[in-house]
Amino acid sequence: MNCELARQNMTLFVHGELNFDEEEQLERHTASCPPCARELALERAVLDLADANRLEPSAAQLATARNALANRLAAEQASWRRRLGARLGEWFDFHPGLRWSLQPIAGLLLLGAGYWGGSQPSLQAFSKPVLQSRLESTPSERRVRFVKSGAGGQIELLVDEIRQSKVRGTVEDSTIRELLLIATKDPDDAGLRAEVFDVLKGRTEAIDVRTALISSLEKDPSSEVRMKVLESLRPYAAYPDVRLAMSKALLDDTSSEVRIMAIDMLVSVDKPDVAGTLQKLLENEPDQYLRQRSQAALVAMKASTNTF
Amino acid sequence: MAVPLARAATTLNEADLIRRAQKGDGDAFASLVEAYDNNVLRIAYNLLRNEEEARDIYQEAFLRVFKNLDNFRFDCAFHTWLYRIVTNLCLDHLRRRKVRKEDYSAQRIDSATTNAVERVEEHRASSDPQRHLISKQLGERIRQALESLSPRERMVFELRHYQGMRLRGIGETLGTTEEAAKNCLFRATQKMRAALGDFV
Repeated sequence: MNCELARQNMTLFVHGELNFDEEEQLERHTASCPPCARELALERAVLDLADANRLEPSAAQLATARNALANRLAAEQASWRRRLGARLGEWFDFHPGLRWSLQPIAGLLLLGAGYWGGSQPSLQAFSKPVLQSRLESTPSERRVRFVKSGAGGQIELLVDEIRQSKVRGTVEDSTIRELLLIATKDPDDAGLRAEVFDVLKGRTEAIDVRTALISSLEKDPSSEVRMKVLESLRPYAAYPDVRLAMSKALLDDTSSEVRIMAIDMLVSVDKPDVAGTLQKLLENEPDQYLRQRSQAALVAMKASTNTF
Repeated sequence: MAVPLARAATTLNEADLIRRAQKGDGDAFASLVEAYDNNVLRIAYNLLRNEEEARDIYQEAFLRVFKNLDNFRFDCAFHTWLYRIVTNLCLDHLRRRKVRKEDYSAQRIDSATTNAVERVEEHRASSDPQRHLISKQLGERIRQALESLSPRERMVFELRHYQGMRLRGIGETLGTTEEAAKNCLFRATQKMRAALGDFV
């Protein structure tokens, strides 16, 4: 082997891509050719440096990715079902005469679609609970912070450790409840927060849950999560603290969807403070829909559309 | 060097899992995800060097697998199919990034997943400030060197060097020949050498 061929083969050699004979030839050549040996050492050193720059996803990163994937897959299935429903709905809108005569057939179609979907893995069958429970990983992340050598070969390590664990129980269990309430404030995962509010939906009567919901309605950065919270608070609009939070959302929220939802909920409650909120809204509100909705509600309440 | 990707799921009867997943077994699908998702995330993370973007690629890749699993006909290994999806998504992403001419090299990597250079740097910082400085410069230079590779070169370098895939498998994954993958690796290594030469 000459120097030219040796240098051509070095990259493949350090990556283990040469066959046995080619490796032998290269090794023999570099053993007797100091410049090529230096080149080979350089090639190895560059790879070692690159190796040191390798990134390894953390356990927490993997767990977040899995959780987001499970949520996305669940959303995908739900959206497919909605699309199917909407397509059938549109079709009937185009053919109103057929709506009643074909309704039984439409029902069968939907049933059939459900059955078909059930046999199609990419659409229906990977239910979220299955995925989530399976994709819940239990990796742990460890980081050695301090090493101390002692007598007799003893070593003492100071280790930071993040360990994931599964906790099972009902919402009534204090540990579960506490963890869920912590999760409502998870800054990185709006999907998780929305899921948690779904779980807490029927527990709004409890003061700790209601307080968490009210706090999220005021502070959560995601409008979708705030809408989810509002939905959970809907049955409790008669409670003064809930009404106050809804009033704040109506007056101050940055999302028009949240505000519309808030006004819908508030006008369904016949309380004097609601009239006050609506009157306040009318002072400066530029949104025509909200103004009209507010005025109509005030008229229905027999309240003035002016403020005094 | 990483364990070769192809070995990631040797303990599983993969074909059986795939068939079960195709018939709608969510548990089997989850097993397939679990077998490969760490590798998928690692590939995307090393290529894009951005935690959030890597997570997006991870999600999109498995979503595509989820939607197209019915069309998988066993004419290649499952991992080849999966990594083809991942690498295509990453290639598109890197190309778009290049068009946008955004400077991602300045982005900081999340502290929980700092690379080996930074870990070394942190441990030694208090005892040797000069070494700290060199490590920092070196880390930055390696990032720049990787940024200087074309998306395809970077892909081949990543799959061969960090993931331990053979050139033949890389060619198959990227839809090209072993020879083309070999040339890409050669060019990538030359560029890395040129960029890092004064550090070795």
